[in-house]
Amino acid sequence: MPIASTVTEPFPIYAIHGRYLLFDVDVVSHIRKTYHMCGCLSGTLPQIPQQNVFLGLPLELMTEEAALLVEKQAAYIVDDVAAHTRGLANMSQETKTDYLEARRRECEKEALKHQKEVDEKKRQFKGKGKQEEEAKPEERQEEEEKENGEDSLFAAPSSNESAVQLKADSLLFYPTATVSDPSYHSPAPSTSLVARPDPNSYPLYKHLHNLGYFLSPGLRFGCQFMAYPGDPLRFHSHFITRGLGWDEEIDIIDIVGGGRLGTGVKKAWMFGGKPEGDDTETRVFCVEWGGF
Amino acid sequence: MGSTTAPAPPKKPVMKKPNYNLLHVNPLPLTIQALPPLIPHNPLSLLHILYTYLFCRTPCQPSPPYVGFFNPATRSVHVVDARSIQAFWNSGFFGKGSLSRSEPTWISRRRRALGIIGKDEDLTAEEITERRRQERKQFKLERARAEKERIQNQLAQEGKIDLPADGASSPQPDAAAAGESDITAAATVPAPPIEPEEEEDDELVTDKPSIFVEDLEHLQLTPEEAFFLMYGLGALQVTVGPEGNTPVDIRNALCLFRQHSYFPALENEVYLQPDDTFMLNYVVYHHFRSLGWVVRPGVKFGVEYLLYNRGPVFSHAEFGVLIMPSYSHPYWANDNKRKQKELKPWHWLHGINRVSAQVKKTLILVYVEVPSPEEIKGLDVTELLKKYGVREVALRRWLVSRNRD
Amino acid sequence: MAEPEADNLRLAQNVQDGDISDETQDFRFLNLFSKSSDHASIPKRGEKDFEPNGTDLQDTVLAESRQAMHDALCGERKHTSKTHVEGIWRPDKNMTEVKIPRGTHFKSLGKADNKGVLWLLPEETIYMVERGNLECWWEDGVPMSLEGAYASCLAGCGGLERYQVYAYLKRAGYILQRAPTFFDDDEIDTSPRLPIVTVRASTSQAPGMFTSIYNSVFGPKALPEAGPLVSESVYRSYESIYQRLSLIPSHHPPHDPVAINSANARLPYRIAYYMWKPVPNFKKSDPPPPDFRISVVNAREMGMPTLSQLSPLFDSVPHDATAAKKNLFQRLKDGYRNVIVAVVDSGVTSFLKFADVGFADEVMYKRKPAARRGGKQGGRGGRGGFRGGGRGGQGGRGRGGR
Repeated sequence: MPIASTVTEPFPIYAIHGRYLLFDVDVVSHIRKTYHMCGCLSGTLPQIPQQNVFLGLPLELMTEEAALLVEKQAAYIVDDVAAHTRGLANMSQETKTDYLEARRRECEKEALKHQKEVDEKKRQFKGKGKQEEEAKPEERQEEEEKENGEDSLFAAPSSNESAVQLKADSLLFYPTATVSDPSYHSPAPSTSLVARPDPNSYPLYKHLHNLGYFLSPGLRFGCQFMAYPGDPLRFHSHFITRGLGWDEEIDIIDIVGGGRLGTGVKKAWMFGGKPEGDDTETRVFCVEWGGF
Repeated sequence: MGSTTAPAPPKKPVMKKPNYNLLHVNPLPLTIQALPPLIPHNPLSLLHILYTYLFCRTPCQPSPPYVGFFNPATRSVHVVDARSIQAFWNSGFFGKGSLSRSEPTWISRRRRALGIIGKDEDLTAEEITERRRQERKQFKLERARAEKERIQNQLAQEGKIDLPADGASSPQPDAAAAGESDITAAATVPAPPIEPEEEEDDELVTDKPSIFVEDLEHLQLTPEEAFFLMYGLGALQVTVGPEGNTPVDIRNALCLFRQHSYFPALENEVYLQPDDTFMLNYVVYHHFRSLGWVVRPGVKFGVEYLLYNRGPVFSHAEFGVLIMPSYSHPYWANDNKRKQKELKPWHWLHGINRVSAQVKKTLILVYVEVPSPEEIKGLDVTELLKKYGVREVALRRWLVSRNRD
Repeated sequence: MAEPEADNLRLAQNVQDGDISDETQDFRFLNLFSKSSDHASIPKRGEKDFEPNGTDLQDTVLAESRQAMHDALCGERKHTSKTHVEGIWRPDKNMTEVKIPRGTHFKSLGKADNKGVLWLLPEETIYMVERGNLECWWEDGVPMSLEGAYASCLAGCGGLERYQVYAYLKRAGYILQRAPTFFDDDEIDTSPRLPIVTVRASTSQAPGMFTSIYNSVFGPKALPEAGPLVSESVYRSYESIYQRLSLIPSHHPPHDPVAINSANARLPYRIAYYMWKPVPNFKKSDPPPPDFRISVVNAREMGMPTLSQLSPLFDSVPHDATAAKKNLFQRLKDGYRNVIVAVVDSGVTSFLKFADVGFADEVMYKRKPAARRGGKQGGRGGRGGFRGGGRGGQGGRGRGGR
């Protein structure tokens, strides 16, 4: 399905035990496009579950990403554990029944659709002649069904069972929604939870983000953040970066190691930070192995 | 040959390998007088052994002793006489040529530059690398040019730019432009010259190669290497002072090296700490040397030391050593600054491990237990060293997919 | 030929030390991937661009790639009635009750009670819901969404990083179970713990009879206080010189099986999971000894382990029986005991293996004579350096460039 054109801001970021998660695919695409933030997909992709190259929802945001989105007033933090507990407890019996009912109907609709497709395939298999004969009575039954509305599903089994009701052996699908339903979950902004990134590295993050870079966790590459000139789906990173406090010491041997690390993978190693105060600027320095 | 054809590849230089096994037969700069083997059936062998035992009793230390002077500006011990240099490099790979990358080779390169030896004769490691760099630079320039051309063509196709009439993009020969699209957005760092500035040498006549060229290079020993040669082997005498001729004994050398392992150097030995950089470095250096490893500085790989089986000419180092001071003793329990030093971030460790893995070395974390000041108060060198404990932990990246089956 | 390898960074690209999941892959290739499940079909490094170049072509490809990702993320989590499994999350027990487990997935998960009901741990619950193989319900009578599963079950998992590591390894095909040390022991001894000392002065090998008599008469004197350690006398072998240099106390890992002691290991440096390579007849109630032991740490909350954290972690795992049979270099890399630490940073996981090794037990100076004769039998862990194989060994001087 096409990527949704707009997402209402501010959108919720779900804080669960100190980590920041997104479950809505439209929000995920939105922050990628609008805020050049990628987060990290960390869930099993149901289509191909036994691999780790392509992962699915939920998306985990770095603390820096969550903090910056909140700063820009694009998002707000939700205490999702509390939201669920509260929402479930406050759910009225009526809302519950309605919700389950709607869900069941959706389920059956899907099942019927699937069944139709299966039957269609079977028909094609049997040959064209027989196809036309069998199709008509079923088609008529289905049209009837649509006119009568959903009550027909509760009707007693008619002579032609296959159309009105699901066959006894037809497949029902049991889906799990990714996002919690509003009937039991309303994501109110948290009054207590705040995303607090490390003050030694946040200035560097913000600085590079402002310049348009995409940033992602650099653990595997031996740095804090990897900085990409464009979407990591299509571009290689340019910098492997480390944020430091303005007065934080760094060993020369680590600068050498950083330069070597970067140059070894065709990137530059960068470190930077910002002095205390509101009107100070972040400074960054790049190190490359000379002479290669 | 037409002017448009590519230049012929350079002729492979004549390879004259020195016999490394012979050159580096001694693992340490000390001489041994091995007893001949006992041949059971041959009574003469017993006599031979007895003779050797009674009459071949030269002490192992060099005579006269090898000498070096400590230069506080470079924080290293300089060895200038050829005999010492040769002994230290050949017997255990101690030290580094001050004008070379590792083994002192400046004199060869100098002689080649002066035309005394042939262009491809006896190439040193530095020269081989330099040639390789040039080839690689050419390759990179060409690749960058091709890439730029490809983008230009694409943009032209989309109607965003106009290409010059002849269709070919103008050549971009300068390294800066190529460097931008090739390396990174960071400014290209010009390659530092390997050879030092040519020095005025009165003894040379430029046309005819003369026979004598003064070797301006000396061997630099790190303080750890120097101390090992002094204290461990008794093979080096170190001098200090403005003239560089005041000998210093082992105890004072230890203080000196410890003080100078700070920057700026400590003025008074009263300020020395059990975890002076020199102490930590030396304990680990001595530990691996005493087990038979050739220990060389590892700064190029972001580690403290590299461990070689026999030496850099025989094989690449198997291990990189990272020193991790450990403050388990209750004395340090409330020392926040030191506790902070123990908290190294994971991304830092990943970075070093990655660099080591790129060059196929296994990283060894060497934890050094630091004794409390009381434990080491008043102790002399040997007893002091015994107070430190060393523990190695090998580190490797574990790949999920690699270990599955 | 001192260190040509210092410049040989081209090796960096060829070295197989990377995992394909290190770099973000283009979702347009998801179909290819699912068909062959062979990583070779994923286009390698060269397919990405260096930087934005302003071409429409680039923009189009990017849009397609993003669309492919969006579509993939819309993938539904569902299973059919044929494999339908329902569970109820019991918050008081922090487990999911599954009355009728069906299908192969549930054979290796959870624990059955004496009534035949299968109980799933919180991480197993989230994992199966995420995969789409389990329909889990709250006791309130509402089915869980994926988000709901995380909100309710994550606390019991021991943290998001533990769940992420669990799921990552399960996806890779391994079998996992919680170790007994998953949580900290209830009784925590708060008395100050002295540093555990495993380090002792190096001892050279016990001398033979003749040598010991010789030594007692002509033997080396005690080590001089201010050195030099090697005295001014005659030495008959380099080995005897090296023995004089043996001074620094160092660690000797256990060479024989030794009792496991987990008492001193504290979170997060405790074994969280036992892991097995996939085997067909795995008995979850009576598993064989694990192939791997995993500890999980959040990189943002914790630094590298100090020795006082690492040492008890090693003490809590058994000794590796295969260590003695390996060659020296392999033993120095794999050690006598080892632990895999899974490090997690904001959703990215990296695994490092820490091995308890003892250099003092592998004395190099005794190997040298054999090496000089042209190579030790049994190899050096595969690089054949002595014979000049590998990259730089063969008479480095005058190698003549590329």
